[in-house]
Amino acid sequence: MTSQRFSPASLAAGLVLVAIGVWILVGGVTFDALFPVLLGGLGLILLTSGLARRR
Amino acid sequence: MNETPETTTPDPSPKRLERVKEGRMLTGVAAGIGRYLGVDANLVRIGFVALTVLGGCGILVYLAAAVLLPGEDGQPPIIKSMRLPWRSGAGRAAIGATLLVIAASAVLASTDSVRWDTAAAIAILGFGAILIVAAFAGGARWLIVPALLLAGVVGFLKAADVHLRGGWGDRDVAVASVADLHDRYDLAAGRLRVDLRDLELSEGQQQSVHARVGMGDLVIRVPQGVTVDADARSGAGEIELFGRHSEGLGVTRTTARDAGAPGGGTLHLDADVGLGRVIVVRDPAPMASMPKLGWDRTP
Repeated sequence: MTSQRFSPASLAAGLVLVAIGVWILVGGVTFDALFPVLLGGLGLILLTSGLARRR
Repeated sequence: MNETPETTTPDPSPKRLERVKEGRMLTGVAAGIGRYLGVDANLVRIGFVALTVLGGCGILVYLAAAVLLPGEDGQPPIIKSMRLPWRSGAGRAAIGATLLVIAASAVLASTDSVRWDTAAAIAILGFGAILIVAAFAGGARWLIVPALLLAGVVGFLKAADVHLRGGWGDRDVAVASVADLHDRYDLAAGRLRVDLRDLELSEGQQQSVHARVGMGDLVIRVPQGVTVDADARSGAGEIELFGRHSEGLGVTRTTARDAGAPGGGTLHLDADVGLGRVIVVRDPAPMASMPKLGWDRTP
């Protein structure tokens, strides 16, 4: 494994997907909560990717 | 008398189908095809637009040509310079793992014991795990966008409490008597029409019916001589319950006790649609939307 291969965006996306998958599995998904979660997840992925590229 | 011999200069390079820079508007595909066929490039562009409008394949053919055709001066096709995931070992491993996750989820969803949303959630978890591993090994960045889209769609359907059970398509159910009446009517997607006009319930007699459509329309016609206690829900869509209309996103419930002619029994109706419309009418139906749903107003 090399540091060049490490992809922070993939890691962030993976964690977001695991969180959403668990949420759907457990239940309690509502429209009110869904849109903020999706937007927040997307924002987290883009933020991580952007910060990693700046370094 | 001297005659000048007619000479022809052979074309130094054979005709090649390629993307060209001269006269191009986007990628040079239409200009290249026009030059190859000896026709105006605008005719080729009109052909692509016509194919797109008529059958939708024009844009696909254009995109395929854009990545597969070589450029001028021996430039390789765009596809050769794309970082396609199957070109690396890690990429092939990620594709394989993704296919395995999809196959496992499809097998789970096909069993009656596992709900579709559970199988989909397991698939999303699997994609998340693949991405976490691939963050260190590489080869799965292409999975980010489709997996997030899948998570959004599944989350939306879960929020609307869509149940996918009972097949697909249009289904008509006509109930002639109490003996014909089932407790449940389920349809995964499409249009379910339950015709209860011939149902007769004597005074004091009670019957319950639960009709559910995952995505689509649920239309129920009830007879005149029966009191109906209806509970209708649409996760995202609209409800028309005995002429009362409500619509919106999220769980929408409307309960109404609609009295029929005196001397009849009571029908407890539970009408549920995840995404779409619930329409409950007493015959004869005083609603304009009935012809669109395939039933006219005549008995």
